Amino acid sequence: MIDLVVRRRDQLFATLVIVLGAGLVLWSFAADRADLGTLVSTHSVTLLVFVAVITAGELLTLRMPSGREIAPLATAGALSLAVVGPVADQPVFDVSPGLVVLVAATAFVVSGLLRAARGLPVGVALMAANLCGVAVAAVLARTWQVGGQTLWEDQSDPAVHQGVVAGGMVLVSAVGLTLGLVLVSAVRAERFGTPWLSALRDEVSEAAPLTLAVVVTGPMVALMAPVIGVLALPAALGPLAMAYTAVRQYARNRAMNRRLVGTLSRLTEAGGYTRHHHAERVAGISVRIGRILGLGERELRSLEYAALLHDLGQITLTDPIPDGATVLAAPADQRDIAAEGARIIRQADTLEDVAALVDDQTTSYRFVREFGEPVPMPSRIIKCANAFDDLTGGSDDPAVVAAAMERIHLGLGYEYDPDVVDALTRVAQDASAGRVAEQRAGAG
Amino acid sequence: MSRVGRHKEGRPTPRTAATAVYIGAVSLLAVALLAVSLPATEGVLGVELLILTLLGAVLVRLEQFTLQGKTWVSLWSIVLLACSVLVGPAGAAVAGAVMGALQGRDVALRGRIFNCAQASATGALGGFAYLAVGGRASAAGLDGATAVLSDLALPILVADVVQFAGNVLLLTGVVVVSRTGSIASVIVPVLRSAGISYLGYGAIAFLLVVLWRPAGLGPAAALLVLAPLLVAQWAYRQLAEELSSQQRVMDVLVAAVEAKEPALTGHSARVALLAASVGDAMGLGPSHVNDLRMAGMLHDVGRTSLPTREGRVHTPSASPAGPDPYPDRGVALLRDLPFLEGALPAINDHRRAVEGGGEDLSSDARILGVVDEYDLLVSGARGGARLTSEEAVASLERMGAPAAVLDVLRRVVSRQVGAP
Repeated sequence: MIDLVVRRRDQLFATLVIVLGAGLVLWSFAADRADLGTLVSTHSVTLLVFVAVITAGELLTLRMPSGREIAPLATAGALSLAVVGPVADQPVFDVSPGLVVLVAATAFVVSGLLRAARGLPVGVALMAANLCGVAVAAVLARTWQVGGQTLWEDQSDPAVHQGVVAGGMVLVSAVGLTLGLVLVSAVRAERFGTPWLSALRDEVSEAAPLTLAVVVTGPMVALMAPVIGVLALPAALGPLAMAYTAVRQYARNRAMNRRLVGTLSRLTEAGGYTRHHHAERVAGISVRIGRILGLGERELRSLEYAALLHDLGQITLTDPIPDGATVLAAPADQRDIAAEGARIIRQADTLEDVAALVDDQTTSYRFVREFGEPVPMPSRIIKCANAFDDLTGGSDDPAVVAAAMERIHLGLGYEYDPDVVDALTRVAQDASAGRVAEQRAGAG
Repeated sequence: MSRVGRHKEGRPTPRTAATAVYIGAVSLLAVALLAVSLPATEGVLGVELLILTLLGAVLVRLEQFTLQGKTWVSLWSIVLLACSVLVGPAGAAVAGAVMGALQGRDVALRGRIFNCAQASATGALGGFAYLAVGGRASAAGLDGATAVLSDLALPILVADVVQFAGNVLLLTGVVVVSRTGSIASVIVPVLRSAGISYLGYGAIAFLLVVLWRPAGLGPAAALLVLAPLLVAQWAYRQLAEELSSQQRVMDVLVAAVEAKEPALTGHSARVALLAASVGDAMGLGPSHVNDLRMAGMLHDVGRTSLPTREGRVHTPSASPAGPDPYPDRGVALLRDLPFLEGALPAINDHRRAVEGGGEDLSSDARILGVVDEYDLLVSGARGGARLTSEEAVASLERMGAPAAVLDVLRRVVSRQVGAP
């Protein structure tokens, strides 16, 4: 099931990036058509090693805490290909940027087919975006002349210190990688209806440490290759692999903490106070609204935790309220429940921000409008998402959803923040709005 | 991996004099190795040694940190190994002395001297080992993959093994002389956790050396090679933060129990502490004790699913109408958290340890059951008067609680009462 990104909605930018990537491949093919056969047979060993490593890297993706999947090992391998020159025991890798593009594209296609065969989603537009980054790095390293010669020629010139070459290669890799990130974030922003700048900010900040490790890998490969040959690629990926392992462990633990908070949110369900999966649904809707409104990753995390725990205060009620639907409870009771929940959460000093969001979730929007009360955006989002789920009971029946939206619109500007309601409308209409990655079957 | 000072800080060891003599001997060994190596190396005090030493010093001062008992890659060990190759035995001895002396915070002078001597000696030994098995001096003039393998990669591996063995031997010496612990309890964990790390150090030092010398990059090589490792270190720090935040979230779980039943305030934390102490005193391993602590912390989570009225009106009691439903409910809530897997059986069965019918129970469930009931009796959460610890143990005996656990509990409690 190749999940072409062009689907469902207008995906103008994604289409553009795919066309750009395909155009690069075609142009490279046309330019190098004459000596493609010779090039491939001359560099067969080098090419094979690179294709194998990039393909493997694409299969070893890393799921970051936000849900983005990245493939740092593949990116590093492809960027190494862009800068590599002399290789011990092999012919000098003296090729045009076009061949670099073709080789990287081959590896991307092979890995895409393998992923599809294993039933994993394939992001064609994301691969095309990365290919553009690699192409730019290759063009810069192999054809852009500074002081009369290219970076690639500098490496073989004894008059140029290798430290300068390494610096140049780091720069070139950084430019290529950044371009890739910019395009990837634009594709994601369009696909999931989130503001592009906040998508870029999250993409860059979340990937920043790994990006640092990725940009030094290419130069390491290129500079070691004249000494140890094609072994340079697997050898230089060692340190990056260590960073990869560490980040993966950290990301997994983040996911575990999320599950632990999920457990906490189920206490009220187990006690019969709230409806099955109510907290999870409110959290899911809240985070999507938050993304559409451009909240940062840190805020989104607090929002998610607060949304999960927004009904925790019900746990001490002696008489459960019907269906746990706080939207139908008296305002004073709503406030008591929120305050009790916040009090319990405050037992953990690191969750102070979450507690504050839970505390503020019942304040009507008119207090913000009329009295300038500083109610944080995440609290306004939880208020709205909670009302939506209380009213629909988790049903996605269009009639039920429409009735709930109508009811929420009645409180527009008085109870609920109009911007939040707009975002909720988009979330309710479009199953992909406000996500970061394609939904997998069974995943929320 | 030495960090001797930290273990002994503030605690007078039984054989202070013997330890001092041992440290003196190790220092002499280090000086002797330096003296032997000096004539064999020319131009030791070059710019490269200065840069490597500075780099090592910076990395040493980056706080060493351990995660779940395992020390994450000490980056300066990689630099020390690279020194053995790039600046020879004498250079490595000098650099090692500086790095060793700067190791750790709050290390007593004696510990610093030992660390300094240890790092210097192992640095020199690594350098000698590298040359002895045919390593090219300063890794110069290498050409082709075969030469790199035989004249550089393999000798680095040997130097790596020698440094590791040297460290283990010198550390064993400290343990034997000062009798701070058994060889099994100190050395075996080091072998287990650091053994594999040292293979990794070898691989990374190899990259550093190849880039530095044959590839002609010089000191810039360190930036390329160490950047990803600093990233890894950053990620492990984030992980450590996540783990502590996990602890905080569990505190909230407990807070929810206590909000529901105020009589239980502080009960979970006390049970966690006491259960861990009893488990420790019974000789259970660290991860087992940790499972017990978690079980103690969360054993009442299922009570949040009981009606509030019951919780507030009737204080927790062994229901006469059959087994309590709450342990089952607690387990159902916590089941999908893999890190609590080891704690669940105890949570599930702990009531049976004191309610009878628990012949087939695990030791964890017995400990948790006894400690839980003990704390309820002593704290007065059972509703009656607060019992003294003797009365509580006697009452538990009458209930037919397992005698072995009660014995240990009595000992642990009397030690706690006796403590200042």
